[in-house]
Amino acid sequence: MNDSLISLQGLHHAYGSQVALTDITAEIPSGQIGLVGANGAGKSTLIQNLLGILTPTQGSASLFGLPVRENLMAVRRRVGYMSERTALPLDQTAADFLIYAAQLAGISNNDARQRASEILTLTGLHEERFRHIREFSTGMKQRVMLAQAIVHDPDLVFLDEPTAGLDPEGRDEMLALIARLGSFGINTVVSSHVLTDIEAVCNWVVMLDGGKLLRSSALEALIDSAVIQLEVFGDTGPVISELSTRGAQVSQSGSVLEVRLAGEDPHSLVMDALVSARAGVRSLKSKRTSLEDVFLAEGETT
Amino acid sequence: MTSNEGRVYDVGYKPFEGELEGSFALVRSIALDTMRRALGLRRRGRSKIVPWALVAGTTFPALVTLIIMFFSGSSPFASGADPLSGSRDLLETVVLLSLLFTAFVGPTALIPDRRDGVLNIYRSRPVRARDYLLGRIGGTALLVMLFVAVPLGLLFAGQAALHPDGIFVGVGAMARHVPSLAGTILALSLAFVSPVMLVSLWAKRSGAATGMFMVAMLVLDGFTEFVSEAGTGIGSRVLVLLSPIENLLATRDWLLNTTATDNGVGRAVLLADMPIWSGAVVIGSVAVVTAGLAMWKYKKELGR
Repeated sequence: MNDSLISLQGLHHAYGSQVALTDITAEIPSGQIGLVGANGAGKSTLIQNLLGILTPTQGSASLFGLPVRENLMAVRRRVGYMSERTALPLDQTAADFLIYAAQLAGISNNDARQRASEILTLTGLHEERFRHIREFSTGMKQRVMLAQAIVHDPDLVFLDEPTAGLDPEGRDEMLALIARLGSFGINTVVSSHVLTDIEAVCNWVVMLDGGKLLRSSALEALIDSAVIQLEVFGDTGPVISELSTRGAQVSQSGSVLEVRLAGEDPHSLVMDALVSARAGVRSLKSKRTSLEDVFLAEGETT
Repeated sequence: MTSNEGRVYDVGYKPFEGELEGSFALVRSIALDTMRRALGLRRRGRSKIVPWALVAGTTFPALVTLIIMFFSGSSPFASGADPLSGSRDLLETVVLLSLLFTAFVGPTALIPDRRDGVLNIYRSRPVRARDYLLGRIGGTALLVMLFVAVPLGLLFAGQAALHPDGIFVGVGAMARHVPSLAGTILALSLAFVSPVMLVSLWAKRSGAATGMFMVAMLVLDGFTEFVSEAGTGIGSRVLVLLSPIENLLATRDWLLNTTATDNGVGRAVLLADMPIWSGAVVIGSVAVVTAGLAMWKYKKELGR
């Protein structure tokens, strides 16, 4: 029994002669999943294959252990989708639209009214529920999009570029909302080329580049926050020796040393080594390996 | 009684634990949304003007006819006239208004969802192309039927009420005509809704679809009249069947047993060399072709 949330087996998708996804194989666990890649990397094509809108040219995709193409309606009962492009009926009120969006998932009229009211409150739109969507700001429209994606209580929601077009304040609010989804028991796939957004809300990362899978792994394993950049006066040899003795990995670039210690914070170890080597410190700072560093490094190696 | 046990709830979110409804409820929801949108209900005031003006335009003649009958005592039952004559005359009046109504509301069924990207929402719901189209096109067809049925129903009820032997005898006398009237209303709905949906399947804007539909209907109607007057060869006879309006009137004549002399217009003469039911066959065929094309297009759009 496969307990992955998403299972991709040799997934390949081509639009005529243009290949969008090449032989993607991955097992992705439940949680908050970030789908990252530059524009044209194949993120939206992958989401559309997972929603069954597109049929893979080769290979297969499964959600909740169910092959998507063979169980399309069963899968769609359990997912929500917020598309990249604003997709809203502008002539409806937010409340009417959410009620209808819930009914489309099979929720009865009375329950749909209840759900719509709760989700409008959750997304901060309750006061505006009787206004026509046409009159909403971009940020409010994005929140309506998110609301319709979760109004039917899906197990998994796909969010395609959820912060696109938002000002910094709107972006923070949207990320805070997305981060809360996990506590509601809703898994998310957040597609974005803004890597800091992914770092803020996800615990698993799938990296795509040019339709190929670069990495699929836990965010923690990708970004290494336990690195210290150190520059000392004089000879670096004794310092390197002391650090190595204490089990740290040291790399040198000119007079600058980069110190890593697997699974631990190397600050106290560096202090001890500096004291033992009687070395003077010119500079010392923590260096954080961001998702962007990893993405760029992966891109260079392929 | 006290307890040391407690639970913490996040009142900000409650999972849905109710039963999900099946595909019939889904189609009903889509059809109701289609009708609300077409009539501008729960929308801005401007979107209500045209549909409700046209509804008033069809209801008004029925009310006027009833008022005249009531005050003059000229009930068809009292004068021994054909009780369907009023319905036939009203249908003649209602055809043009129905055409305008369909031209206005028909494109709002399919085009806004594509234009505004709202199909993306249907793609993440258990909505098959079949359910979507039944709701959208079926909802529009039902609305057009109601548009005609309401004034006819008023006339029907009024005539029954004016029966010299009482309303119940009147209803009994009118009841045998209900299937023919219902068939005519269905034919009218199919005759107009099918072509407007054909245009809407590809048009990008509702206004453009309305214009294209009206131009096509009027051009085809003029063309068939010209052809029918120009010759009686087999080519002309077949070309007569191109006009949905002529096909509808022929179907009405067939179902309500009207002749050219009865209605004084003589449209049935256009089809004199063809079986009178051929108009109904063409209306049915266009409806089937439209449904097939719509399924083909929307299976691609919705993934199934």
